[in-house]
Amino acid sequence: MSLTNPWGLLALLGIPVILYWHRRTASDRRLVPLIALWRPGAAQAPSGARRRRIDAILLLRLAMVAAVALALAQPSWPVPANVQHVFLVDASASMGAREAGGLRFARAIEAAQDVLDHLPARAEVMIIRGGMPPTVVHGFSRDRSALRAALGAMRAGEAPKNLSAGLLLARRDADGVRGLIHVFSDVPDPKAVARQAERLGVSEGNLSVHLVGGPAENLGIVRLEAAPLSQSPLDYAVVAVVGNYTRETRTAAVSLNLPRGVQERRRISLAPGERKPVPFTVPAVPWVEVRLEDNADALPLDDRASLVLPIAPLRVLYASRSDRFLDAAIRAHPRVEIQRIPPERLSQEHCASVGADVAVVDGTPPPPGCRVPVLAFAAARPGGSAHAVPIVEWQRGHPLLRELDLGEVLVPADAVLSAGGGALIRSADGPVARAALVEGVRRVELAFPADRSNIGQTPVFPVLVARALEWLADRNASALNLTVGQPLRVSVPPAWRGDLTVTRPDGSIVRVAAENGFLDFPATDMAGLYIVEGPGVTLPVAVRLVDPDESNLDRPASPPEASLSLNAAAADRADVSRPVLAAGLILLSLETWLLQRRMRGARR
Amino acid sequence: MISMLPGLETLHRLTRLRVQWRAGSGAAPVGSRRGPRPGSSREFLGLRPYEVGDDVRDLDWAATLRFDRPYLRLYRQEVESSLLLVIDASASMAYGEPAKLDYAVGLACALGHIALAHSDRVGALAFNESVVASLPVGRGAGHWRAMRDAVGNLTARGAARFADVPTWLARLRGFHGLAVILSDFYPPEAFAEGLRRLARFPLRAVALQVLSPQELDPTLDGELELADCETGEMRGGWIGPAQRAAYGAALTSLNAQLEGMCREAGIRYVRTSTGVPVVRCLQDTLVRAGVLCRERS
Repeated sequence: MSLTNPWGLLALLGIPVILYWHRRTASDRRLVPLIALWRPGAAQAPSGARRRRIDAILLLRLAMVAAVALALAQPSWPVPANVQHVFLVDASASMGAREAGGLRFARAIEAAQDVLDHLPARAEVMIIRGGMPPTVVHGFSRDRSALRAALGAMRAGEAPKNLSAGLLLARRDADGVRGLIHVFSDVPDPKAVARQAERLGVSEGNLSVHLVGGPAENLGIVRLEAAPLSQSPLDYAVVAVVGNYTRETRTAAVSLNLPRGVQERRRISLAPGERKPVPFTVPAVPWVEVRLEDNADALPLDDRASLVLPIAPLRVLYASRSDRFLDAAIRAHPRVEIQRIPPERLSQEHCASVGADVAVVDGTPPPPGCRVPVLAFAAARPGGSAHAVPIVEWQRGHPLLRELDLGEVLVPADAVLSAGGGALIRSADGPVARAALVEGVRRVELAFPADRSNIGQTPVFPVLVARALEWLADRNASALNLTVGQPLRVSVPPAWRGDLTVTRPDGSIVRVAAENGFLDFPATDMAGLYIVEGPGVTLPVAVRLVDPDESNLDRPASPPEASLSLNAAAADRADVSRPVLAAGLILLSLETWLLQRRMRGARR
Repeated sequence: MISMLPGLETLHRLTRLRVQWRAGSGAAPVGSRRGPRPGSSREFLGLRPYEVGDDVRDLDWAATLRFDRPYLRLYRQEVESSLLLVIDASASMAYGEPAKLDYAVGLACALGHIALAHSDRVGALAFNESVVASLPVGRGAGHWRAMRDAVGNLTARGAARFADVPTWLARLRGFHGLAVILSDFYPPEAFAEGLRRLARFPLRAVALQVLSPQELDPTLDGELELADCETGEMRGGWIGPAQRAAYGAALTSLNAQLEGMCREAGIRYVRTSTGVPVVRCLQDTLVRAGVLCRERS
């Protein structure tokens, strides 16, 4: 048994006080009405009987003081020597930070080896590398040299922190109650890890968090996004957010790199703790890379980030009797592949088989059950009025209509959509355009054919059509912009069934095969640009670390003392202070009961 | 609140008892009771030779002629008697379960109720080292309430100074009748002089010794330190069967000593235990002792 707080034993000084007080009060004193009637025999008491007459109350009080002193000293009991230990070494990107004493990850390895040296010889140890995903580096073993070699061979990764997965893996392999999970990490708050572990079914007594890491200054790109420019839907606004996690104002250069070279460079100045967005305007290029330059900090990994833009050609199924304004508007989009069919051929089967991203239907209703997003211009009503009414209201904040002026547009007076939500444009007679979800598929409906309105002759029309096509296609590059460690899964054309190649950022080439129309590539453990190449097509995939929690490396100079000592005690010992305190309370109850009994007896 | 006092219904039933007045001396106020000395009632008591100063109206001419010398007719004197209840409130009376003092107070109040129910006069006195409560002689239902108030809140403390009790009794203005002393008479020496002085007063006194079962049959055992609750004197040592037997013998001897002191002073000695219910003590112990008698129906 060892004591976490030996100063608690000072409470044992209460024992002489109890003895003195007990001797003074002489609990065996009895009042009698007439002492003259009694002749106690001092010499007649047998010595054995005297020994048996040790005062129970005194014993209880002494035991109570001892129990309280012991509980204050926080005793811990060694658990059986064959307990299983799981070392979960955090290998997230922040563990690769450079500090005064070397890499943060190296300090974690040193701490793990230190714990390993102090474990009982019969203790079994398993080592898990807490990356994304976590991996078992070494199974349960008592071979210290092999375990030490496995620890030494580990390297920090580039993925964000994901201790939950590591804890889950550790809990699965640890031996239930007797297993002890050691987490070596630079988490800012060890209690957060304890809460995570508790949610996963790991009790506090089975968890030991060893904090590593100290103060480290860092600037990093914590966010990188792109969106089509509202003024020009075919160009993009790229916004990089840079965070300053130092304790002083820092200046750095932010450069934008396109496939053809450096496009733009800007200098920014950031106050301590400030996050500043840096916007760029870029043409439609496959990918961009943003870099922080002139910046010497603890973590180079978050000084660059790539982004893939959604610029693949849009496949449009066009069913129309030919309206020249609509034709011109669709062809104004520089990246469309148009497949034109007569309206009467349009059917549900056709929609499904052609593999179109968007269907444009003019003068005929979309086929029911069509699973392709549709831009639909309604057919003219037979015998309808030739009278035209102006547009009186439109949703200026909607992505389709932002900064467009429809004040000059006239629509047929009898062209009104049936009741329903999502009205985009209203004429004097009612809603004439709507954007809504129909059976889970996006659809833009206009209540008039293109040739029955002057909208085709206005400059807003090609912009409106281009935006409608992009909105309907709902193309975002989220599948192509991944976080480090996130598996790559993209749909590929059926023609790509053969072997594909993935070129990793370090130049290594991996051959993979597409199955069921998908390419799965889980080994995205390195930040940078991955190039997927198939027959005649090249697909870039950006893998980056844009995570404020990883970029913020600032930690206290020394880890919290309480958590360290607690964890050190919990390494292979069980805290028994609570049972000892409970025993003290039981003794107190017994003492009270006995004292009451004696007082009743004394009164008689 | 007097814990050992019987309920009102029981007290009402106890009025079938009455105080037995008997023997006495000295002048007393004329009342409804027959006094023990010659008096002016019409109940013939006897004859005695004429002495100078006697009232010639009381000459018994028949006896005078027969014996050829003047004889006087004597008549029983009608007096009003008082019941004086003397309660020991010394520290030793706190002993026992129930405390002897509680028992004595309950018993005294019940006796007072019986006497007052028969239009007798009742006075009370509680003492330890001085008078701690006193109630002048009086009668009536209100007087019983006053008596309960006077003795109901007694606390046992101090030593018993019984030698001054006769003097204190004289101040109650009921200096005749029956005095019942309720005490444990510990230590007997403290009571000897008082009992002797009391015998010289025109009172019939009854010494009612109240003991507790715990002191009649003590259960003390082992290595103990004993302390006298009145004097504080301490004796430590081993208490075993031999010591308990010696205690029993000492108690018997003490009781015999007390009985002898009472006999010498002409005082009736009665002993009771707090283990005996108050009602049973009244109906049985005190009736057999001649303190109370059952009223003839």
